[in-house]
Amino acid sequence: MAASARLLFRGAGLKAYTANVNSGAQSSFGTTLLRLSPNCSSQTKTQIKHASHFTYHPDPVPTMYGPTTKMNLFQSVTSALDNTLASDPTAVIFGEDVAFGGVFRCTVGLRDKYGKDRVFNTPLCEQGIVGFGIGAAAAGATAIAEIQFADYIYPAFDQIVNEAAKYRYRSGNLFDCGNLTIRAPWGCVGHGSLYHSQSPEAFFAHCPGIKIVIPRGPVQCKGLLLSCIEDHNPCIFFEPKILYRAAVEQVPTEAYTIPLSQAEVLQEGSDVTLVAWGTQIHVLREVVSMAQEKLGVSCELIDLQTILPWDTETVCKSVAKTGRLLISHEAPVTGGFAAEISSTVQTPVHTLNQTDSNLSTMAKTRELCKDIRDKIVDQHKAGMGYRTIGQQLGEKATTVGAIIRKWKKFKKTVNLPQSGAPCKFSPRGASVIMRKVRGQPRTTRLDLVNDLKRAGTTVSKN
Amino acid sequence: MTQTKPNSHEGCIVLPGALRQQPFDSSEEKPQFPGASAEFIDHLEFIQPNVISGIPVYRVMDRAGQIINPSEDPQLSKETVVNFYQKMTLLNTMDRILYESQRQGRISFYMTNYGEEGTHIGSAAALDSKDLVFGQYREAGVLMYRGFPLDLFMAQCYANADDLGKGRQMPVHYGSKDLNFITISSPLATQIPQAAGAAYAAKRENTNRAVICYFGEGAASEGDAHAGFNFSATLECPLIFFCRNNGYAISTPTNEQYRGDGIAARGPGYGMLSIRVDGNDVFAVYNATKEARRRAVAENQPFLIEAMTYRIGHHSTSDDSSAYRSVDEVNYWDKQDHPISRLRHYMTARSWWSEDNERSWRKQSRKTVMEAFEKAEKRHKPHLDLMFTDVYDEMTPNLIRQRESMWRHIQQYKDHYPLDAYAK
Repeated sequence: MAASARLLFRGAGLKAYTANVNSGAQSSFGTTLLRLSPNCSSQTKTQIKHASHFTYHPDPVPTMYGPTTKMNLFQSVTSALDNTLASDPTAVIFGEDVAFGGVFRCTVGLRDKYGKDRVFNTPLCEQGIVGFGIGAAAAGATAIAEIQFADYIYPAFDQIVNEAAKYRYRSGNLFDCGNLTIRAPWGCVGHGSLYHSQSPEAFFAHCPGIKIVIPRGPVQCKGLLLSCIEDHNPCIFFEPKILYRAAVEQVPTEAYTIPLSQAEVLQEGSDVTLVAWGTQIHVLREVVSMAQEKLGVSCELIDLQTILPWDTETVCKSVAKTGRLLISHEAPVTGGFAAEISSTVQTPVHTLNQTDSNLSTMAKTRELCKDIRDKIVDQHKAGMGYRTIGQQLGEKATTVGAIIRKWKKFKKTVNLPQSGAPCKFSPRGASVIMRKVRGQPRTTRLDLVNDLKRAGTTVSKN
Repeated sequence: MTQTKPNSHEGCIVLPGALRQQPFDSSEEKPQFPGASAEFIDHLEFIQPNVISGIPVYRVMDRAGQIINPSEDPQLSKETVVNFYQKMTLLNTMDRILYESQRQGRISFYMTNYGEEGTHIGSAAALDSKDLVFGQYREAGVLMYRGFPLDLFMAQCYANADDLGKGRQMPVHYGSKDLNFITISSPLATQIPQAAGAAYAAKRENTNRAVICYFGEGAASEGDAHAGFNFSATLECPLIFFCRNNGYAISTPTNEQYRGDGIAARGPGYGMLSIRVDGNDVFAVYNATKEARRRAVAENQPFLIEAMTYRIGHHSTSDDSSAYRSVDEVNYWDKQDHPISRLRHYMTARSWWSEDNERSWRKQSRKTVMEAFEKAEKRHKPHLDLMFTDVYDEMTPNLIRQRESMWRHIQQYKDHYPLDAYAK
C-alpha cells in the first residue's frame, strides 16, 4: 500500500499539491485496484529514486547579518517576504494561489500574519497580474507579483517590456514602477518537461529598464530578493525551483541585502573562467574539482547572479587573467545569455582598453594599444624616466624603452613595419621564396609579395 | 458556522474570499456548485444576447440642448458651465492648429479629439483633482480641464526642452504628475489592469482617492481589458472604467470589433455595475461619472461607463477616413449632434453666452494657442544626455560608456549633426 501510494505521489506531479489529493476517498479505490490486479506487481521496474543532476553545495554560514536559522530556498523566500511585509506597510503580495501559501509554499503563513488585503489571490491571468502590479507600484505601493512558473510569464511580456521597463524613461521620470518585483519559479526540475522547466532570462535580457536576478541558494536568494524589492527599478527574480527543497543553508533571520549587478567569484583559478547562474553553479562546482583532479586545470568560477545589468567588469577581468571562458546555462544556446557574455568579452571595445584589462585584437605578442603608447611618449616628453613610466602604466621598463626608441627613430607610435627595419621572414616564408625562385627564375617581386602574404607574412614591395 | 475539512459532505464551509457562506446540503434541490448561485432549469434554452434593443443610452439634454427630465439637470453654475464650454472649444482650437502644423511638417504626428470633447470635460469635471487618470490617447480634454498649460501641450508635441516627458515620445503622449495624469503610452489597453492596481493601492491608502481609466471600444477587445475588468471586480477596487465608444478603431467599425451589445453589456459578466450614456451630452457624462465616483469609493467596487459618441476626425494625421466612411456620415455628427453645439444651445437658452461672447472667445483662444505654438517652435530640443538617463533610476556603466561614445562621435562628426537645435 505504501509503495503504491509513493508511486501515485510521484506520478501525480509536484509534491506540494498532491498531498491533499491522495488522502481523499477516490485514491484509495485506485490504490486498491492496483494492488489487486494480477498484472501489477507491487515492485515497479524503476524503483530507483530520481537522481539529481547535481550535488548542492551550500554557502558558508554568513556572520555579518546577525543570527541565522536553517532554511531551504522556499523558506528563505518566505523570510524575505515576511521581513518586507513587516517593515513596509505598503507592501502587498499577489498572484495565483499565493493566499493559501503558494504551490511552492513560498508564501505560507503570510496571509494569516499580515491580512487578506496584503496577501491575496488574483484571477488566473499573468498579463493582469503584472499589469496590476505595475499600476500598484506606480501608485506608490511595494508590489510583489508572483508568476506561478516562469514558463507562463509570456502573456505578461508586453506589460513587462513595453510598460514596466519603459515607465520611467517615457514619462521623463514623472512616473515609474520601481516598486514592482516579479518572482517566478525557474529552471529544470527533472520532471517538468516543456512547461515547468524554462529559463526565459534571455528574452528579457534584451530589454533595458528592468533587472533580472537569479540566486544559487537560500542565503543569496533572500539577500538578492530583498535587494530587488528595495531597488527602484522593476525587477524579475527567478527562483530555481529544483533548489526550493534541495538547497538548505543557515540563513539570517533579519533583513539583509546582497548588491545587484555584482558577480561573485566563488573560486579563484588561473586556466579558465567558468560563468553560470542558479542551479548550474552547483554543476560547475563539481566541474571545477573534476577538472583539477583529472585534467590538472585550474578553473575560476563566477556566479553572475544579476543577468541584467550584468557585471561585465568582473567577468572581463577574469578572462583577461585566464584567457579562456566557458559559460553554462540551461536555456537553449542560440540567443541564450551566454551569447551576450561571450560577444561582450570578445569585442575590442576601446573603452575596455582604457581599464586594466589587456584585451586586444592582436594575438601572439602582447601589443599595447595606441593610447598607452601615446601616454608613454607624452610622459617621456614630460621628463619621466623609463622605469617610472613603466611603473605608472604597469609595463616593463624595457617595453617602454623600445616604444620610445621607435618613436625617436620614426616619429610615430604606431607599430607598423617600417622600411629599413629588418623584415622578419618566418621559415615557411623563406622556403616559399626559395621554392618559387628555384622553380621559376623569372619570378617578379610582386609574385613574391603575394606568395609571402599567403604564407602569412606581409612585406612591402621594396 | 464551524470550519470543517474540505472533503466532508455536510456542514458549512467558509470559502476563502467569498462573500457568502454556502451550506453544502444534498437533500436540497438547489445546485450546490461553488461556481454559480442559481436555480435548476429543466428545459434546454440558450440565452439570447440582446443586441436589437441593447442597454439604453442615458441622456440629460436632447440634440438641441434642451433638458428632457429636469430632475436630471445637474444645475451647475453659469461659471462652471461656461468653463466647460471654453475648455471644449479651446481643445477644439488647439486640435485644429496642431493638426495643421503636422500637415506643414512642423510636428511629426497628431491626433485630434473632434466630437469627443464632451466625454473628456464631463468626466474630468466629475472627479476630484487628486483622482488618478489612466488614459489611452484621446483624452487631452481631461488634461486641459485640469489646467495643463498650452505651453506644455505644445512642448510635448514639439518634443522640445520644456517637455515634461523630456522629448522621448511621439506627440499626444502627455503626462503630468502634478495633475495626476499618468503618461500616455502607445500600446493599447495596457493601462486597464494598471488602473486596477493603482485603485487597489489607493483603497489601501484610504484617502478617498478614485482612479479612472479611459479606453476606446477597440482597445476593449484586448486581453488586458478583460484582465483589468476581472481584477478590479474580484479585488474590489474603487475604479471607474470609461469607455469612449466612438464607432471606429482606425478603420474598423464596431460591427467588426464586437458582436455583443457594446462594452456596457460586458460589465455584468464581470459582476460590475454598468451604464451606457450619451457621450455627446456633457451633463449625462458628468452625472454618470459623479455618481460612479461616489459609489466606487464608498463601496470599493468598479463601475463601467460606456460613453457613446462619434469620432469626427481621422484616427490620426496618418489616416484619411474618407477611405472607409462617407462624408455625409461625418457631417451628420459634426452638424447635428456635437457636444459643443448642444452645450452652446443650453447656454444661449439661459442667456449665458452670446454671439459677442463667442466671437471674442474664439479670437482670444486662437490667439493664446498661436502664442504658445510660436513659442514652442522656437525652443531648443532637449539636451542630448537625456537620451541615456531614466532607463534605470541611475545610469549603468554600459549607458555611461555609450553616452561618452556618442559624445566622441558627435565631436568628431559635428558637421553632420544639427547641434544648434539642442539644448547645451
